[in-house]
Order: sequence, then C-alpha cells, then structure tokens
Amino acid sequence: MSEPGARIDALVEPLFRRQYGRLVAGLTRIFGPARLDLVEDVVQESLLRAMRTWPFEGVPDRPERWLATVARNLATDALRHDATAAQKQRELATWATAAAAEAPPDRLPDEVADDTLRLIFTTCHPSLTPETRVALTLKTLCGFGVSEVAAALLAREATVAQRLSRAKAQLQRSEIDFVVPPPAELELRLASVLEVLYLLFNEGYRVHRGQGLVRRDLVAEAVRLAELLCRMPETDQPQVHALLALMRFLGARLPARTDAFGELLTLSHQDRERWDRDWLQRGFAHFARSIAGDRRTAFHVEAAIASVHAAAPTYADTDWVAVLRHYDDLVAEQDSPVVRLNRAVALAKVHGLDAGLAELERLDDDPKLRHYGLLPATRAQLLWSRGDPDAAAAAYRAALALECSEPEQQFLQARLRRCEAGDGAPAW
Amino acid sequence: MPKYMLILRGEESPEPTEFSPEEMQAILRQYEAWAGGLAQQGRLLDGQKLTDGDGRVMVPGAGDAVSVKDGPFQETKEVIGGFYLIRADSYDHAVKLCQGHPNFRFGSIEVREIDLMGQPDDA
Repeated sequence: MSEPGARIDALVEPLFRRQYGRLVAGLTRIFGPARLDLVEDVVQESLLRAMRTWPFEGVPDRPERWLATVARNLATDALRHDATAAQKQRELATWATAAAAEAPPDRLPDEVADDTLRLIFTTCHPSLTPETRVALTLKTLCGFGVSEVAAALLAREATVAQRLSRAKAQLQRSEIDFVVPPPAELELRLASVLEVLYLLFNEGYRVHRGQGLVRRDLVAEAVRLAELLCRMPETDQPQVHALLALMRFLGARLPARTDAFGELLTLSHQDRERWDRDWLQRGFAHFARSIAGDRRTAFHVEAAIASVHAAAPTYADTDWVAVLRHYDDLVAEQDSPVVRLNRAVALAKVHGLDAGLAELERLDDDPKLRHYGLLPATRAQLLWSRGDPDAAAAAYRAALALECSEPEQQFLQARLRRCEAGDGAPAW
Repeated sequence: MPKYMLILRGEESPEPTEFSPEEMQAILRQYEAWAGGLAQQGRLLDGQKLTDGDGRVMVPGAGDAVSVKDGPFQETKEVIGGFYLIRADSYDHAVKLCQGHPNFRFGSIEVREIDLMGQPDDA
C-alpha cells in the first residue's frame, strides 16, 4: 500500500470503468453469460469496496490486482451453494492471477483480451436487438452505469434498465456459449458486433437531439473496442479495419468541429490545422489494411468517402468527383434516403446546384426524411448559393420547425438571420 | 504541533448499485485530493478504514468480570467508517482542514485533539 493520498494522479484514467469491463469479462467466462447478474454484482461490490477502502489506505500500487483479488473472494463466497464450486474455485484462482498480470499500458494482458473478445461477441449477440446490444455493451464492457447509458443513448433510465434486464433474461434463455464464434459463424457474428460499434460511434459523433455536441466517451469506447478486434487474430479482418479507419478519419475532425449539423455542409468552415494528425495517420493505416480483402462493405465505402476529405489539405482541394463516385458505391451497397441526401450534396458540387436540387426534390416524398431537418437545411444552402435567399430562408424555417438539438437550432437560426439580412451565401 | 483524530462517520454501507464505476472513481478522487493535499504538507500521519458492522464493546461486569456488549451503541444509524490522524496548528485549524471533505456527502466528521498531557510532541 502506498502512503495515503500519495497517488492523487493515479486515477485520472477511467480505471474503474476499464476494470469493470475486464472483471466482468473474466468472471463471465467462469460463471457463464447466463449468470451475468451475479457477475455484475460481484464486480460492482469489488469497486465499491475499493471506493470505501482506498481513501484511507491509499490507492494500491497495483489496483487491478487488488480488485481482481477482492472479486475472486466475493465470487468464491457466491459459490457456496454451487455444485461445481470446487472446479470454479480453481478457475477463479487461475483467473485472478492472470487478470492481475502486468501488461504495457494501453494493452490488455492476453487472457483478459481473450475474455474481452468473448464478451464482445456475447453482448453483441444477434439474438438481441441492435439497441439492446448497444446498451448491454456499454453497461458490461464499458462499465457505464444505467443512468450513464441512458444519457449516452438519450433514452429514459427506466427504459434502459428494462432493456438490460430483458437482455440478461434473453442471454439466460438462449444459453449462449461464451466463446469467439467458430469460423463458420464468425462472419455473421462479427457483422453484428461491427453494427454495434458503428452505432456506438455514431451515437457519440452525431447529434440528433438534446444538448451537447459530442459524447466523446462513446467515440473513445467504440474506437477502443474496434482496436481490440483489429489486434486479435480471429477478428483481424478487412471490414474491421475499414470501420476503424472510418472512425479515425471522422474522429480526427472532432477538435475542429464547431457544429455537427450536416457535416458536408459545414466541412468548409473547419480549420483543418486542428484536425488530429495522429488520428488521420492511424485512419490511413487501417484504410490501407481494409483493402486487403476482395469484399467491399458499406464500411469500406464510408471510409473511402472520409479518406477523400482527410486527404484534402484544404476544403477547396476536395476531390468531389471521387466523393460522388464513392456515394454512388454507397447507394449500391446500402441504399437509404439519408445516403442519397448526402450524395445530393456531392452531386451539386460536381454537376451543379440544379442537379443537386433536382435530386433533393426526388427525396421530398420519402417518409423517412419527413422529420429530417438536414433535408430542408441542405435545400436552403443550395438555393441560397443559387442566389435565391427568400426561398432559402423559407427552407431554413422549415428545418427549424422540425425537432433538432440545441447546437443544430443555433446553427440554423444563425444561417436564417444572415439569409434574411441579405448576406451572400456561406461557402459550403 | 498538535495532533488530531478525525473520526469519519457515515451510513452503514451504501447500496452496491448506488454508484456507477465512474461515480465511484470520482468520489475516490475527491478523497484522494483531500488526503493528498494534507500529505503534501506533511500533515497526514495515518488513515485506516474500520471493518463494517457495529463491532462490540467491552463493559465492566460484576466484580472483575468484563461483559461484552454488541452494538449498536448509539441511536444514530451512522457508524464509524474510518479515521485519519493529522497534524494541525490548532483545533480550529483542524476543523478548517476538514471543510470540503467528501465524507460530508455520507455523514459527519468528529474532530478530537490527541491529548499529549503536557508532554512534548515527539515530532
């Protein structure tokens, strides 16, 4: 034990969250996904004991070892009525030693990495709905509390709690094995995992409703888990690198982003000096590795679009022809009205404002875009640029009438005011 | 310099699900910041957590006998969670050092001066 208070800086990292996920992963291997409730209770109690002991005795030099030992003891207590107690106790002892193994910062000890991978496949099991997978992953793997999951997903706390308990019941019923899926199933199961990481990232990166521009915790967790997948031999696959490249390219822009509304419309205003070089470099490295396979996924195409922007030293240098070509690919890969809306912007860049506006008109009747503020906002931008500020103002008002987050509202209102004042159209 | 014992009282034990990992770490960080500040000034001499539960107290029985009495010993539901031994310039100073202590979120702090009975302080 160190001196009381001697390690104030020791806990700057999200140690408790990280340890939560690691401990849950290890104990779930021993107890099985069906007993996730028991596992989470044990881990929660271990952290609680740390919170109550460390203020007096100081943070131990090896907090992960302290926690693993306490968790092991608590789990042993929980085994009193278990028929397989002796076997499990031996497993617990082996696990506690492995879990406390020294590893370089930023890397998990091998055994912990294996367990974490299994837990990813469990919480992202395709028998659960995507929303449930996201919530369960945040809770068990990322160590979020129920209220934090709710805040991150902009859902009500009671809803999240209910979703989580149903998920655990589902895991119990379906007797899911705690394994990395065998090769025959891997493709499908991995797709289910990547879908969750993509949702997680987007939830943090984009703003749909409510306050707060970026929920960076979610971005960080999505990247962290994707990196683990890239490092593990079973999941080191091109589409995983494609997804991670996409996250890195987009995440690199976060320091420069002043608003998240319709990024294609506002990229022109970002100070590219503030883009994170390290993230960009990592993005390109993973992008290169994503091309290894012969299969193209939507992640590949999205990463390709992001790479065009990442590669342009200034906005004026953007290769819009390439962007448009990639959007054509994306329509082929994963057609959706939102993809077509984004494509319309590239279309306007390459073939002119009228071509873009005509494409927007085709999207007007799509029920999925009826409440999507970006559609009228995009139209406003194009109309304004064409020299029709009155029609543009009307489109901005239409956008403001739809549900949008506070930063989005501020963005739209500022644009509307400038439009009404007769200013020239902003660059886009 | 006089020494003081800070006796930390609080609710018996919080519900395990009361805090998220992040919140627990934040609380811990507050304790650490407080204790770290005192440690840097050389004022923090010791700190220990006591085990949960009410414990037992020995009281004089009949004759030479001692009888053991189970807790709780007070009407209050608060129990002593742990203690710190600190150095302060005066009682008032010790009280001042306790201000902003994170334990007030959970209970109270009793400040008691260590009675040196006129002996010189060993440090």
